[in-house]
Amino acid sequence: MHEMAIAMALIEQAEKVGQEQNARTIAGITVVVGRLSGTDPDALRTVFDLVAEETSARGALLTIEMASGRELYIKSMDVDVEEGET
Amino acid sequence: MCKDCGCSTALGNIHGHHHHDHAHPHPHDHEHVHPPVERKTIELERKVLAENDAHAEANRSWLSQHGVTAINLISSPGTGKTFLLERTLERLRGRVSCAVITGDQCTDHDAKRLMGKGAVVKQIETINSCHLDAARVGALLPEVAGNGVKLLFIENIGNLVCPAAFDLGEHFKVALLSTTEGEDKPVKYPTLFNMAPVVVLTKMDLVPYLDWSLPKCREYLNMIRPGVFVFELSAKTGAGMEAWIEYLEKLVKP
Repeated sequence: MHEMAIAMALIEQAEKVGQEQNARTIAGITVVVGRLSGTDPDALRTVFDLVAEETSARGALLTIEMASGRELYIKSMDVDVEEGET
Repeated sequence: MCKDCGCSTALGNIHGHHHHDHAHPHPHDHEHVHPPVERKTIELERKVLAENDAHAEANRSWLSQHGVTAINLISSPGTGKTFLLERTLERLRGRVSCAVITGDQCTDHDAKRLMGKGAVVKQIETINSCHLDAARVGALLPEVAGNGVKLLFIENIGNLVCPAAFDLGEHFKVALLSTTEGEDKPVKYPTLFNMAPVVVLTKMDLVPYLDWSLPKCREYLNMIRPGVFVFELSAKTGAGMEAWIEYLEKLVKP
C-alpha cells in the first residue's frame, strides 16, 4: 500500500502548480494511471481525500484515467482563482 | 460528476456540499466583498513522482561521477536477497570494492548479517513505509559509497509491488524469484518483472522437491520482458554462483 506516498506526492505537485497559477483552491485533479505504474486506482482514491484534507486541494475531485503503460502523471487541474489574477 | 452523489462539478466547490431544496438566506445588509472567483482548467503533464524522480536523477549523477555502479535488488520477503548478498560479498571480497544499503521495515538484522565481509553496510529502517525512496538513499550515498566503492547493492524492502514504483537512482533493477514462490509470479506481478532487465532465480537446489518447472518459469519471464537475462543459482550450494559473480565483475570493469 504505497498509494499513501503516491497521494502525498500528487498533492504536493498539484499544490506547486496551484501556487504557480495563484490558485485559491484546487477543485479537481485528473491523473493518468498506467496499468504498469504500480499504482492501484482504488487505493489511491481511498487515501486521496484524507491526504488532501489539510491542503488547498481539500475537497478536490479526483478523476483517474487509466492507461496501458507506466504512466503516472497529472493531466489537468481545475483551479479557482480570484478574478483579475489570471 | 461528483464521485459521491453524481452532481455536476460545475456547481462549484463540490465537497463539503449538501443537497437540499431550501434557499440559503443571507440576512444582513452590510457591505462585504466576496472576491469573484473564476474556475479555470490547466492542461499539463506533470509527473506525480517528480520530486522522487529528481532525487533519483541526482543520485544517478552522483554515482556516475564517483564511478559507482548501483543495482536495486527487489523481491518478495524470503526470496533470499540477503543470503545471496552474503555469499556474493564473500566471493567479491578483495576483487571488487562493494557497499550495501539494505532496507527493512524494522530491525538491523540484515546489516548485521552483511557486516564483516569487506563491504560498507548501512541499514535503513522504514518503520511504516513499504518501499525505499530516492531521498533516503541519496542521504546515505556519500557515507556508504564515497570511498572508492565500485559496486553498490541496494537491497529493497521485501515486496513485489511497491518498490517497483520508486526510482532510487540505481542503474538498473534486478528482480529475484525463488523456486518456492512458484513459476507464475512474473505474470502475477508484471510491473516489477517488466522493469527488471536481470532476474535471479534463487533456491535452485530445491527444485527436486518441488513441482516447479524451469521452462514454464522462463516462459512467463519472457512474456513479461522478452530477452530478460536470467541467472539460475543456489547461494546455499554455490551452484550457478560463478556466472553471477563473473557478471558482476564485468559490470564494474573500467
